[in-house]
Amino acid sequence: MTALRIANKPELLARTLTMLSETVERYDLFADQMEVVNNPQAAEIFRWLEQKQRERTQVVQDLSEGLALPHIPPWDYHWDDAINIEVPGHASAHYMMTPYHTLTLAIDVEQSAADLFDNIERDTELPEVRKLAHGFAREANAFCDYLKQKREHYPLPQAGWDEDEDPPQFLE
Amino acid sequence: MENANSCPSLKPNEYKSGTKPVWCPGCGDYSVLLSITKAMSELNLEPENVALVSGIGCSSRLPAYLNVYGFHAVHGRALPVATGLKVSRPDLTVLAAGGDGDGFSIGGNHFMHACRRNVDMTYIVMDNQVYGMTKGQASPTTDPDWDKSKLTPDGTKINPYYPLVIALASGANFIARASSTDPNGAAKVLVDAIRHPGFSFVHMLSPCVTFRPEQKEWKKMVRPAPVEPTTDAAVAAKRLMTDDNFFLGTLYKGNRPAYQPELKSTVEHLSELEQGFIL
Repeated sequence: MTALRIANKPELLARTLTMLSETVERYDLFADQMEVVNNPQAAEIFRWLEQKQRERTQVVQDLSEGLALPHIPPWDYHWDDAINIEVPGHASAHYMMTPYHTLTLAIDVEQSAADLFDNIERDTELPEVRKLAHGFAREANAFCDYLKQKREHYPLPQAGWDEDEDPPQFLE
Repeated sequence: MENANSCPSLKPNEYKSGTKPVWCPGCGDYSVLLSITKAMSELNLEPENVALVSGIGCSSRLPAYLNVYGFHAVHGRALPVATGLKVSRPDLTVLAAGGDGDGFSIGGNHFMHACRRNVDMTYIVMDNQVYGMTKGQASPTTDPDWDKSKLTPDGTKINPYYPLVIALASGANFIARASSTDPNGAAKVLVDAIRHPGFSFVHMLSPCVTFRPEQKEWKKMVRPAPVEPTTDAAVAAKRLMTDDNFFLGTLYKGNRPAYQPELKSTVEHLSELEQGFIL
């Protein structure tokens, strides 16, 4: 979505809603995964992130009230699932990830979302799109800063954090 | 922007069942599940008019996670079950799914003949070049020098199977490759595959992060094929024979008519069907 020209306010709202709702689903999925692999610390943070994103989604839904939002097919969203841009990729989770990793993942998502809205704000000639994109960028930046502060409470993972003494590769 | 559907009546997550997937964190199959639901949403398919048949293996768990009719078949036998279903219920949208071991080894013969028969359905093979559910043995698509399995400590030394080439030679009417690293692009490929008449084969690259962690690098290797889909089998053959396994998109769109035999009888009661099997 980086070199994106937004046609109007409903299009920006539609894209933002899709981005947020997919992020909610992804954090929910990651929380489930971490519960299954008995990583309760990461699961708890993903649940918290899911709830935060759900609240933000509701705000955008309220902003969309009364507007006819366009349907945009999935292939017109150009985010890449492989890296953390705008929506966290499925491959971002690791069963041994620490709270530090979990928050870093979320920081990357927020940072790329903020960059995206900054670009939209810069490129648009429509005042209402510019104003909305500015607000979304400011909000993403603020949440990003908050996540960085929260991450300071957790230690930087040691080298070898993903070394498993009971690895799944077991053929006998 | 190209619309498959101006306004889907169901959102992608409404095609999911309440069952939570138990794949490993980071597994590509999560993303494939998302792509399938996005494609069904874009095509505005009613869940009760869709059936997904799978084989055995990690990826074959898919039917449990979807809110459409599902059949978790025997190992390698997704295609004959799906073929029978589509032939007897041509009104349904029939999808078959599984992994590379299920589809190309245990079910390899069924794969060829399903391509040859050209029944109107879509077969999605999530290829991770390993038997993941049985803890990491070489599969038909594994490179000959992969030596991480204790069963093949020096590698298999056997050339891998080239599913797209086999599909073309056997008569598949639509051949494409997609990647779990790009679920939105994969959704587009699936929409095209489901819409295309006849047997559609989608080779879905889906990394196994547990037994083939090096496959995380696939995200850097996949790229859109720099060609348009061709209807010429000879052009497609050259294209697929020189393919490096990482070109994404629709590579061949044939124009053979789908096979659909005339249904000779209709059965109103199960007891009538049973009559034919009484010895």
